Amino acid sequence: MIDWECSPTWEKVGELGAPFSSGFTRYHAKLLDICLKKYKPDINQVEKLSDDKLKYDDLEKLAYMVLVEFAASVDRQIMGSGEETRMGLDLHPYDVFVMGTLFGAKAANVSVLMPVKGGKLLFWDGDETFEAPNDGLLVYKIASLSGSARIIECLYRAMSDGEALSRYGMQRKMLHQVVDGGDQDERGAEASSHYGRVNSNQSIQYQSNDVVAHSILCSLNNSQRLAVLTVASTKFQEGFFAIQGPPGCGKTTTMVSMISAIGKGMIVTAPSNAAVANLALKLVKTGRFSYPSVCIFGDGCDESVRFLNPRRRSEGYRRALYEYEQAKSEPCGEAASTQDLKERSRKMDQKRRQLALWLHVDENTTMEKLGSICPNIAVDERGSIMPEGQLAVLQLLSQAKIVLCT
Amino acid sequence: MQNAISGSTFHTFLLDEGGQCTEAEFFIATTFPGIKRVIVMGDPNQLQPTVLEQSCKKHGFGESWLGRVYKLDKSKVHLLDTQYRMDPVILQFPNKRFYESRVMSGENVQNREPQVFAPFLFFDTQGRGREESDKTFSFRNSYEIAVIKDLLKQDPDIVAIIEAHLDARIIIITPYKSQAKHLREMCGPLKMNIEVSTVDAFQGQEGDIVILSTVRTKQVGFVDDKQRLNVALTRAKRVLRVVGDKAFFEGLPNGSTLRLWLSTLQRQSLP
Repeated sequence: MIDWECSPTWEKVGELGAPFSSGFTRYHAKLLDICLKKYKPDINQVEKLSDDKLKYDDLEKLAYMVLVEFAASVDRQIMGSGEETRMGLDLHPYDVFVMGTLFGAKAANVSVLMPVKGGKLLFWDGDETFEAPNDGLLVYKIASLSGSARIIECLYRAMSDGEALSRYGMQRKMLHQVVDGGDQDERGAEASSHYGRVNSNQSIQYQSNDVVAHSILCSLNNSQRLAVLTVASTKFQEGFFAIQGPPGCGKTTTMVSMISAIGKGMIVTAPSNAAVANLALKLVKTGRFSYPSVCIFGDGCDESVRFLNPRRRSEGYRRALYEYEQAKSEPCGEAASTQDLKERSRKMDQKRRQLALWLHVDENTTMEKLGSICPNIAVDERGSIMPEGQLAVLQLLSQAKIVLCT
Repeated sequence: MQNAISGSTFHTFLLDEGGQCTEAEFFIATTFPGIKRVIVMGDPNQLQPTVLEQSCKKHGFGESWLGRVYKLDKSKVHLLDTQYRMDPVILQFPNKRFYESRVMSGENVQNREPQVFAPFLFFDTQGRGREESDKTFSFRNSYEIAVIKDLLKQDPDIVAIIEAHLDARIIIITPYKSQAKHLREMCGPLKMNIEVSTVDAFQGQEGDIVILSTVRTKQVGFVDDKQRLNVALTRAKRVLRVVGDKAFFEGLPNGSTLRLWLSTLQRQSLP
């Protein structure tokens, strides 16, 4: 049995040695200690622990309990609910997902948590599966202790970060609106009206200029038009809008129209690189967008749209410049014939044209001009962008109207 | 970097293929600073996120956010209701089974040239095809490959389309990698422009002529997954041919989508 009053301290954890070697540091133990002291878990809500040692899965339980406590504390602070705070295991399935992602914790950490039908929290440690007795949440195989520790760490930081708390509060509210049918307050009512979609007879105020919007709408069918109108309407300020596109119903067309109608400030993403590339290509084909107002970030971008990727652009330019200089400096001394000189300038011109074609710009653009439209993004050997390159990326991001990434 | 971006103006987040994105991934994206509006586009009736771990799947991890909302309340998901791809005959079953017959066909699919006699046909291997597994636990069916080879040469509709449109896209799809590999070997010497793909890899694409090889004859694997079947049956613009074992499908348990599909088929073909 663990004595909760005497929560694990890093000294104790340290004593246990081996099982905690996998990434669980004293630092994490310290964090856990602080968390537990701050938010004392209600012991009656968790199954009694049988072992007298702090074990691997006990730590998972601790991690989970901190999560639960965190949710309750957010309820108190952000939601301002006067009701009895929800304690223990009564946690909305979405809570944990959102929390896990608060600080950009990687998908691997988040994916270990999932809602289950049936009631109560349970643990699955990879060898044994327990059936979920009631509704609740399954903490699935927090694969390593460092995983649990990271979650705890995230939460610990979240507790001292007001902005994160409010972001979490907002997220949760929006999700509850979608799933539970909307809150009664004004903001909720307005947001949930979008799930009923706008009425086609209703007069709509576009966010972007009406001429573009009109020409976009003309080429769409009614259901597509309604979808585009909904997202482009000034009424849609926040919230979620879900669209189902059966096969061949023009999902991509609709999305491109939406992007055109909204015009800026969008992040477009999809679970696969192929889908992102496909959308990017269609977007460029409309002729309304070009680099750098549309940017693709991420290495997975398809060959057909690589000119939209600042990093690929930068690399392409460097390579071409190098080859260009090489051609320029090819040995041709005093005895050089006009033939050689001609050959050299032909080669240089060819390199330049190739690059221009690659970058989707006019093929007569000069080499200097090409340099100016290429950001200077250097990467180190591991492929991460160097500090000076990051500035260029930031500048690009501030210029970009639409960003696509996986 | 995050701080610098938070001053920027990204307020809208658009997710494509929302039906294939797990909830956890989806939420990572929604936490990007400044995001207020989230638009999710996808189809919960097509392939779901790939989750290999069975226990995860069992507990609903393989479900997408879009799928969950769809399940809770369909009216909260806006439906794009006009399709411009399939011959109305091909659309019939998927429409009824997966979209409550709410999907209509655009005008462009009505009178296309050349005229097709039977947009959709099922070819029964009559017990002659046998599934064979290989080392990687993928399956193949040699008899079905032979049937498909004959179809490519003799099916009047397929021949008519190839003659009329030299650039017609001919696709053979199958759920199994092993079968796909053998189909590719068969197509190699045919001097025809044929693409072979697995169903999963082909989501989102379309072909003028699509032939589906169902492979299984003993035990039903993931062919009978309704989302996968929906994807497989909705790729064809003009001609869809399905090759499989009728008796085997008929013997499947009651809830099986394949069995339902077959019985719908038989009702349709009665005079």
